[in-house]
Amino acid sequence: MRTDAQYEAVEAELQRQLDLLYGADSLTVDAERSRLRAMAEQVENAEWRRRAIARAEHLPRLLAGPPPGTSAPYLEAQRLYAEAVMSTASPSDRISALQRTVERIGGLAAQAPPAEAGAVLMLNSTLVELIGVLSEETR
Amino acid sequence: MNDLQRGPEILPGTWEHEWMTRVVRAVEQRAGRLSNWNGRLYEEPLPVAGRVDSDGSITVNRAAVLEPARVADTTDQRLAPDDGYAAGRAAVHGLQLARLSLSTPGDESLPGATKLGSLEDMALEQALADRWAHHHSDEAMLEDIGIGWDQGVSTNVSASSPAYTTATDTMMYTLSGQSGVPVSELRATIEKTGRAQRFTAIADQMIDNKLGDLVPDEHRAEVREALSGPVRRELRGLTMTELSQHAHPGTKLSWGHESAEWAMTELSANLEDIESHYRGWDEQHPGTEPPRMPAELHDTFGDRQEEVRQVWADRGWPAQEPVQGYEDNAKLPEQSYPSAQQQEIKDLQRFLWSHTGSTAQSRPATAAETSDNVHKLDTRRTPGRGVE
Repeated sequence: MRTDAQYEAVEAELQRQLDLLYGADSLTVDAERSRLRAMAEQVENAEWRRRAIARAEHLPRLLAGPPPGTSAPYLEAQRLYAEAVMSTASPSDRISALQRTVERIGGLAAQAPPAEAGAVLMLNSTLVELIGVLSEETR
Repeated sequence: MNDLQRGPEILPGTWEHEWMTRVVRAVEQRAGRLSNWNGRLYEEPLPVAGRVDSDGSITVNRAAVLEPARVADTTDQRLAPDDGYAAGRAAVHGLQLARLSLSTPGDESLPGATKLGSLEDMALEQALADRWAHHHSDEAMLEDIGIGWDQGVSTNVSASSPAYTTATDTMMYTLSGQSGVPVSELRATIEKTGRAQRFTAIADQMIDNKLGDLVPDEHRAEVREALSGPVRRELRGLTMTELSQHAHPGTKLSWGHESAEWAMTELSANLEDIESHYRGWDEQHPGTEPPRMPAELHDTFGDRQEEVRQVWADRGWPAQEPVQGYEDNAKLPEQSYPSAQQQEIKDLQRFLWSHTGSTAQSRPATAAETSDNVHKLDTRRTPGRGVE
């Protein structure tokens, strides 16, 4: 893995601040972002300095966590997901239902806006994993 | 019956195999743990980003992951907006897949094990995966997997399960505050624990930190249950919030956050009582084996469980709201509700209770049954919160 010791120091400090600043107010977060940026500006290698500064600027976004989606395909996919995982039908019936849900969620991922399509598709990874678990149970 | 078909194998020596190898190695280095990937790579035929099979093989979606990654990797030019988004998603999917390959299933036959594929297992794994990708889709990581940050990529993607992610974060930070273990370390400990043992690992963090060796090994299972139970029920219940069509995504976030705070309140109160039992005995009878926790204390844990369930009900959160006569949902009287939202909540409750039943204690607490050293669960209420 290519790396730069000074960049890694900024990254480590960023991860440390993600622990410390949970629930902090925006003024505190902004002050820490500025401090982290000043640290990033000291990185000697120009290319890594640019990356470190960009990383420091991400602090508020990373603290806020991944945003929830809002589109109709995203919300419908979440509903389908919850319905599928909560079913208490027999394993073989669940497998068939899950396979249908995976196809439907796949279709919804294609309709979702770019920033939400990945999140929709990720729901399917869990469903497919569940199909695997249930398949083991039916063997 | 093979329910999970794989597509054609992608052989070593191809760009695709080499790229997946780079992603896995980068994630291993960042996480400080080795992947369980067996080196076999297959095309994913389903509309899924990919998966890690139980034999250690990885399947990956060509259209959603490999092709966009290849477009970015084979040029230094800035990508068209659609390609930039696709490359960013491919990076996140690749990192999540590689991170999944670090997880081990654990041993489902051990006492207190969580069933793989249970609601709480999936909720925790999904929350950890969301969080990991969000924190580690950084410039250096992307550069390492051939996706240039300055090519116009965006990794600012939505959470697949915002309620799980928010709830898990709230719990991690609270547990960290109580145990003195930094959140990143706590998260790493849980991630490296086999999935079937993760909830017992959470309880063990609290036991080891607060009680050291005061709890005999043969008592540990029941102590773990009193501490991991609130966390399991909370994550399990949150799945129901995802079913709600009337709740705004922001409301789901607030459900996730507040319900986790209540789970932590329950856990903390249980922990204080457990500590009081074992420490009190040790102070009065140093060097002698303590008795197990008395039945009254178990009743208190059950009462707290009911109280938290009641909090969910008061807030209008669908998952844990008790329905009178839930043991036999067929007998529930039909009622009409003034709004579609309230009707939906009632429908969801019926659905939940008909599928999960009750694990509550049957005997209600009375003042006489609550000993002095048992802390009453905080019952502060905030009016107007919950369903908006």
